[in-house]
Amino acid sequence: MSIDLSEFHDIFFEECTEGLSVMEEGLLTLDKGADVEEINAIFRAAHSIKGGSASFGFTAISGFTHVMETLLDEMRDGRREVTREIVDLLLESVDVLRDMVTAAREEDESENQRTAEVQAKLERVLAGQAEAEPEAEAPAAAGAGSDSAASPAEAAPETEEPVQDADGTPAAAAGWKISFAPHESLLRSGNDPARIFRELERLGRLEVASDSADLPLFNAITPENSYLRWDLTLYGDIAEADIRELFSWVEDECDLTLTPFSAVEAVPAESEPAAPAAAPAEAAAAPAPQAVPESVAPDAAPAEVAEVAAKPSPAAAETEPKAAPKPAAKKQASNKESGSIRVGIDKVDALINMVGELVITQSMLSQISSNLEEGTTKNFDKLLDGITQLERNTRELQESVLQIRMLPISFSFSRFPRLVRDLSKSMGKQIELKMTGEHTEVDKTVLEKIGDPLVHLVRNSLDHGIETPDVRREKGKPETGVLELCAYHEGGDIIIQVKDDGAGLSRERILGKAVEKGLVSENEDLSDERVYNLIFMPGFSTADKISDVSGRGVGMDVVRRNVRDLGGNVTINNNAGGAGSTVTIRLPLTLAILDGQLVRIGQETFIVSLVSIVESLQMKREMINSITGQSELYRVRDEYIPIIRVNRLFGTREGTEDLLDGLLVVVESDGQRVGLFVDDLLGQQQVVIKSLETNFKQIQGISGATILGDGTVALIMDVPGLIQKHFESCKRADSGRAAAA
Amino acid sequence: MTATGSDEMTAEALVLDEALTMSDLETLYETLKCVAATEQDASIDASAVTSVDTASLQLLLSFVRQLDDNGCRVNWCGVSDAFVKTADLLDLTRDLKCAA
Repeated sequence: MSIDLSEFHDIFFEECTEGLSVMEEGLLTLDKGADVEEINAIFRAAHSIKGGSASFGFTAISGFTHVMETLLDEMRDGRREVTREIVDLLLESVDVLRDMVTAAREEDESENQRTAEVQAKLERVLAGQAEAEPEAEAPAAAGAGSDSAASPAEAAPETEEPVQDADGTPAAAAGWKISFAPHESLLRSGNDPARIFRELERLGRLEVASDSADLPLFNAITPENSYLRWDLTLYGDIAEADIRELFSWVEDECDLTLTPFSAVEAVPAESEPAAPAAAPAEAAAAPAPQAVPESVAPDAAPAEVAEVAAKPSPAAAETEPKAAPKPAAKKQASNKESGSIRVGIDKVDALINMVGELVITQSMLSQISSNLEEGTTKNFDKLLDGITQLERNTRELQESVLQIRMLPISFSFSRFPRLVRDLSKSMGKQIELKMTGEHTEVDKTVLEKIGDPLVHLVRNSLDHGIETPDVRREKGKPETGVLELCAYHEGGDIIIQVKDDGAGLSRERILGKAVEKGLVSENEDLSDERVYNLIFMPGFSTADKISDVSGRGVGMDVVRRNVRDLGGNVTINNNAGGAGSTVTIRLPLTLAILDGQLVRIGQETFIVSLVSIVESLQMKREMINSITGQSELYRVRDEYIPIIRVNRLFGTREGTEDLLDGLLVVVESDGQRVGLFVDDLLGQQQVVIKSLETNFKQIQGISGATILGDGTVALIMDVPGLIQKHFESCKRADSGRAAAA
Repeated sequence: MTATGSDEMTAEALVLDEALTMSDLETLYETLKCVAATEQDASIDASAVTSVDTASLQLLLSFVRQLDDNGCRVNWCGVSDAFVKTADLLDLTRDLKCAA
């Protein structure tokens, strides 16, 4: 049996990500005023990260979070005023923590200077507080070390020293008697009491007394079962919740009793152990073998014990065996390939229900088929009913499965409050961010890939769109600009809009820049839509100044490419009334299913994504032009577009050769329009995309395949790839002719 | 689990692996069973151990007791700091008789 705790790391990292989001969102709301509930929520998130990281041995994370938690604790107790500076520092700490989690995920053990700097800042702030309140903290702080001014419970883990008075005896603080009796299954579930005890040691001085009375004879033992139990004594002013947190992973697999004892009770107990001078080292190195009252002198020589005690973290050292990185590295590699998703139990339940229905229908069909009599139509109606039922089940099952990959867009939106706050501050603008439709769900892959384009759009709005307060005042607008992010479903798509009430798009400036760059001719009569879409051209920027936020003209074309890669499209328009602009992104809900147009070429069926198709038309001879006898062009209104003979491009000898006998499907990719010459249009349907690369090999111009209702395989055309293949083919032909000449 | 072969157990020390964890528990158990079957004193070398979990220490404790019951004893040829620390932490050092 092999249990690898690193298998749970992914869950921990996801929880960290969620916790960090909670902290960040909460801190941003503190800008508007201190709210105890919000501070509590931030504290809880920090506390969970600390607890989890300590359990998994990520000591750097737990140490850093502990300092943050101390500051948050002071804030929630009202001992610390919530100021903009403190919120800024905590937000910076969240950034650092996020980096630390990322580093832990990637097993990057390199030192991060920023971590040390921010931790030092936090500690300075905490130290400042202690100076202000010397009396309240003095007794315990003295024991915790003069360089730390945190409260005793907090100082103990940070300095990794037990709470002691100056003479080495435990501080006259309360403590806990902990009775810990693991159930037989505890070890089997990957939990290890030693790990928990190590964490307890970080909270305060720990004494352990084991009870092995239930340990079976060697020949009768089941090694994976747990037979030992322990009575622990933990000294220090420690919150019960902090102790329970350490046992939270095993709470269902043990009998746990926590009994507080007062300082008065603790003192006699402590007065009995051996020589006081030996006590501190003894406590830090090895808990006394017996329970509190009858301390037995340890076998180890005092000098050796003291040496061990001097090490900063004996527990931490042992939690990082040298051999550990190897298997973990393998884990990391596999994680990068697979990824993970957290799914609500309701979605899994729905899926299970659907499968149950499917099984019933299958069973019904089996029964009907066994009762079918050859040559008769008896039971035929029942069979048809069964097939209809099967069809419904399959559709519902498909919907349920797709639901599993759906996540709310808030995962992507959640980064923007912070981004807007920081950028508006650095640009001297006042901006209110409004978000609607955050619960709109979208496929996880779409969600992951839309994040960066959205960031770019928001940065653009902040930089170029919304004006500075004085400019807005001059224009008669409120000093505070509004940036809106909204998401909603429309048909089978998700619509995401980025709106601002800023300056909007200047048709003249865009046209001027486009003429300057030679993208359009001066006298060209273009619609507003065409003009505005010019900003999606590579290298296009109307910004007078290049800032670190935007203006280099690198971005909007990337935004459009990313959106198109996801099977969507992006448009930009000025808002009605001239107040600002709106960028609208339309994306498919999932990448697993495509809305496709089935086309026939010879005997083969191909699929073209509906979002790529501009129009389909029957060609007229007078509109067809040929260039050097090779490339054919078709005139669509005022534009000549290349004709791609798909059959020739893929080397099939099938299909109509006479252009007048077939149809031209006009498609667009990256602003480039081409016409695909096909024999016929068959119909439109949703198709499930199967990877061609996985099942066969990659083919330029083909993005995947699907299986049609009749069982035949249809290839899905990759329009950008097809266009590229066509032009490469033309180039080769030209070179060939030139060489021949 | 790197351990000396069962036939030589009595003559040679059983050398424990660097990491004693649940994943190798069954191997350790089988090895210890072979040693126990000889009904002779046993030597264990834990000097290379860099990490040990509760399950392994519990098994070793049961083994030590078995030998005790058989009138034999375990000689610890070497124990690493890591091994002793975890045994101390679980208050098993005395029962294992492995104090450094």
